[in-house]
Amino acid sequence: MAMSNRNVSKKFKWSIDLSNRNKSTCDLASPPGYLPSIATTVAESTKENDSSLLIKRSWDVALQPLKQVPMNLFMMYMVGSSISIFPIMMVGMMFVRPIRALFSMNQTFKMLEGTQAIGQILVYILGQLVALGLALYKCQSMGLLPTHSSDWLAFIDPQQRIEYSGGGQTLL
Amino acid sequence: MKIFSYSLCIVFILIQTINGLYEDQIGKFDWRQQYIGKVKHAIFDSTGKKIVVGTEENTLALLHAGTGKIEWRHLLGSNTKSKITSLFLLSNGKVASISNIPTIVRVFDVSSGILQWEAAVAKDIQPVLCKWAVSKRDIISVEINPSRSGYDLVLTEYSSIGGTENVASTTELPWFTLGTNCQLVFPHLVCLHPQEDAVNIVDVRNSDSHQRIELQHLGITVGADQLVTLGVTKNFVSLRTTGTFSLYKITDEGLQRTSAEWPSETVLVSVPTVKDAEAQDQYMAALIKREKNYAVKIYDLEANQVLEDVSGDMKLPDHAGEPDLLSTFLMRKPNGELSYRYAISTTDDSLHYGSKKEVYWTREEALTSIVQVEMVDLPVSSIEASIEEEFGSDQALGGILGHTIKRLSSQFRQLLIVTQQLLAGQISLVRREAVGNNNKALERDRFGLHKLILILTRPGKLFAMDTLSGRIVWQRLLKNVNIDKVRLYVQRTSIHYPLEPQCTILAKSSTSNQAVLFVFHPITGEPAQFGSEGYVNLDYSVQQALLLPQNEETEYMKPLLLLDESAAPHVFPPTESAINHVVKMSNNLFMFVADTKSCVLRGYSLAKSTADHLASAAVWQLQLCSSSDSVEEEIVSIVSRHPEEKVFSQGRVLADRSVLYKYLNPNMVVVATAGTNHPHHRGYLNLYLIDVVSGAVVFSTSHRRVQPPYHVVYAENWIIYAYYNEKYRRTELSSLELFEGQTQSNSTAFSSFSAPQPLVDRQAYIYPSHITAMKDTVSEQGMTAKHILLGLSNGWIQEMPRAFLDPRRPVVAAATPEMREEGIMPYLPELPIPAEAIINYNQTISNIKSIYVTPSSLESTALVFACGLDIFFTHVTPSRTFDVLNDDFEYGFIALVLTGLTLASFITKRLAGKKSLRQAWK
Repeated sequence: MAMSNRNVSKKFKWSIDLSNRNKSTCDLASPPGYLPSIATTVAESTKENDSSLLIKRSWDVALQPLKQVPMNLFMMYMVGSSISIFPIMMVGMMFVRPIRALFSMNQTFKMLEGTQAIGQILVYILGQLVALGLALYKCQSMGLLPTHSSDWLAFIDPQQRIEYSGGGQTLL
Repeated sequence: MKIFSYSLCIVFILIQTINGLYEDQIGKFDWRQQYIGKVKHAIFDSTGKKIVVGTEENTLALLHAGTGKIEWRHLLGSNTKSKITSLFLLSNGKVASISNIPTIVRVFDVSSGILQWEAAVAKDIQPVLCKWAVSKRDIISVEINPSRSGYDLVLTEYSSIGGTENVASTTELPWFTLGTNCQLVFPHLVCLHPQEDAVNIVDVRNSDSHQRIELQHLGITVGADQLVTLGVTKNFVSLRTTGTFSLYKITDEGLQRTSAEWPSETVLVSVPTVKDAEAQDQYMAALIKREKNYAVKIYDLEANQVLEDVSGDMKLPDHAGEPDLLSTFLMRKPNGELSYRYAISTTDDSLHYGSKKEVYWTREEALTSIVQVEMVDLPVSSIEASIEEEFGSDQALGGILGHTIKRLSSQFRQLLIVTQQLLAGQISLVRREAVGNNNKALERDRFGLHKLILILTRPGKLFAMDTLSGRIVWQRLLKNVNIDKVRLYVQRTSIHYPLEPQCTILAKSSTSNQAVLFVFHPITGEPAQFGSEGYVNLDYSVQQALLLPQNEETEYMKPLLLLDESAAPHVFPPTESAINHVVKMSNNLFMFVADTKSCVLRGYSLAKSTADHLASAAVWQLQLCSSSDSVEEEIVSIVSRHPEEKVFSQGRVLADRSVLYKYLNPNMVVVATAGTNHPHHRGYLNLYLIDVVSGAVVFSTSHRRVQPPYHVVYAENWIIYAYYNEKYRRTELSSLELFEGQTQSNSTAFSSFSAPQPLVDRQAYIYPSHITAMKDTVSEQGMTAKHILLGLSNGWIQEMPRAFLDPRRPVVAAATPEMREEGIMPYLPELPIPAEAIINYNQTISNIKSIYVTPSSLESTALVFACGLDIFFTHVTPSRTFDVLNDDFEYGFIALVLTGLTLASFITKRLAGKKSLRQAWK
């Protein structure tokens, strides 16, 4: 408590409140070239810009997964396709991230507002799917996907014997 | 690059090295028993404490009379034709053995077994007759050779000290004809021709001394063709007819009948070795057959009387055969009484040693001529049996109450059994019992490592041996059967608990050509409830037999399908359920019969069978051998896959991760035929892979300029065979592997009628030793890697991974990284024999004839039984013991660590609590 009080006192010591001063200087003539009307329009336009900013930010969110693709590609290239702890960790991260993102989609969509929300949602999902696809491709190139016949060999049952036969050298 | 690939090979070889044996594992799960073979000659030494024996297996050995243990043993060449013909004890503590083909005289020191000298007797002409004798200083050979004018007698003397050949005198024998049976009673040669009614006697040192004695003069009224034996001992000769027995002394004046009365049932006579050689030729021992037992009688020849106080009855064990060799030893006890010891060899190949009172020991030499071996599971222990009874019984006592009563009663029974065993000391709570414990009950252990080895031997004797100790649990001599081409079948194992296990022996009757079955309980050896005492006489002879799969209807009994001489099928046991089982299968049931000499294979189908009448029809026939007169070809081996072999993986994974599917034809057999091309005397070997259902030859290959021995191993989809390459003078192993290709034509079932044509990979390897037996290891589920067990002529058994014999091993230059990734070693023609791959370490097994392998309940472990002159049993783990903890696993240490950790966690928890409390007070 003592500390914060000291802070406050310090603050008071050094702070200058300019807000009151503005009011006192408002009846002064505007400097040459200054048009208060323009200022108001600018203010209005910034108000309009707010929504576009929102859209822009929403697009940022929506495009974020796609933006990571080149980075992921670079990482994939750097890590190589050997089966060792780092590539496996990376592949795991590549899987976990988009899947987690897809599961927490609703929270992300709350951030996406505005008229283009549906498009953004679609782009976001697409981006995550691309990231998943990349992860799958990485798995494939590392040979982790059971796409070959040999991967299913252990599950093949032995062929059933139809004919039964036997015999040998004559015992006569 | 080359160096790199070679070093890679070496690295691979090192990786593949099989686990050797640690010093403390010696004898832990393996045992060896040494034998000598059926005793043909037995001589007591002058002290009576040692017996020198010569056997049918061409082995000379010294047995300790007190224990029956082998003091020393010599294999006089492994040539199967060579036999010890005579054995003599020389006066100076040496023993002389004479082998024929080629004739070799060897003299050994009795006590040490060291060879003193040997002399090979080179022969220009093969003598008609060759007899040996010893005098005081010399070893004497008497040969009768054919000459221009008739027959010549050649007398040769070898000095017993150095073996120098002394005199060779030749005399003519005008009276000698072919087929005459002669005995040498040095210096007389006593001859008898089956068509003549006279005995010829000649002094071999003096050809003018020939005498011809009419049989009538000897008081024998029957013709010479009815004279059964012409036994000989020292200067006596015995003549035995079907009803009489008489002994004659040979003098210069002819034969002089001894006046002692000889019972007509006298089977064998011998001159005993007498302790303190004062009265060497004074006594004679005779073995007389009584109704149930035998009597040994000692005669004093000088006094012409039976020594009644010495003679006595003697009983051989029930499972012994007829005696065919008697050797005796006489000694005078300190109190002046005479007493005797005998060594009797019987027709069941056993050697018995004993005295008037009892048989002291018996050596079961039948175990040197093993025909077939089966390892059977033991019955469940009594505790498990009570559990089986609880869940296995179909009693109608249902409901919660019924089950509770059942459970309580079975648990009470278990408690009783455990307390009984505890009282009897069968369970040790402290430590597991050592392997060599003989008292261990005959019950199944957890891992199926404790089994019973059923051994069928050539003299018709059946043995059951415990795998843990090698102890003979029971033995039985088959009666009235001809043991030629005999087979042993396990019809029901001990697994199906309340049902008794059953085994069946198929043999021929000794009196007729008809078949006889002997049915018995494999664990107790008792005959089963069939026929008379387990013997079932069939009124037909059997061409071939097949053990069919079992099912619940047949009460888990595998029916035995017998094909008689007219190819009509029969079922044993002839129960309704078994016949129904056969009829149900009959559409898909096929049998084949191969005639070894004529090389004809015939296939039969049972499709026409009905429940009333089983019938078969010939469906195909193959003539394999060349019909040309200039070659002699015959089938040397027919190998089929083990009917219960399981294949875990259906294909092989290639480097590109596709699959090469195995060609797993259950109906395919390997038929090897071998012959000699007469103009050049060059041997050849043909190998045919034949589908015995359709009669199709799947594949065939031929090797020229090869020699026996041929050995074939066939498992899964591969075949390995061994032969001797005459051209390069080395043993070679060839390997074949069959694949269906990259796709499976039918992934669910295999029918021989729609079978695909397989792709065959093959390669040959050089093996740097001589192979006498070959076998593959088997595991219960087929998951464990396969190894090949090679029995070598030097008494080793090598365990070789099959990967070494993989036909896909590429030559070094063609080895690709993909191949390496697949785990295939580059091709090196020479196969190694690393010392750690010898599974019998320093326990040499002489004359290995065959190896038998049975899976245990542990997937990793297989039981191996090797036999030859010795028998050897061990475990092999081709993929190491991946399913059991090692022997040196530290149970105590792990337990200590675990309790320590738990304790530590409790203590630290307490300490941490204290510390946080203390801090809260600050």
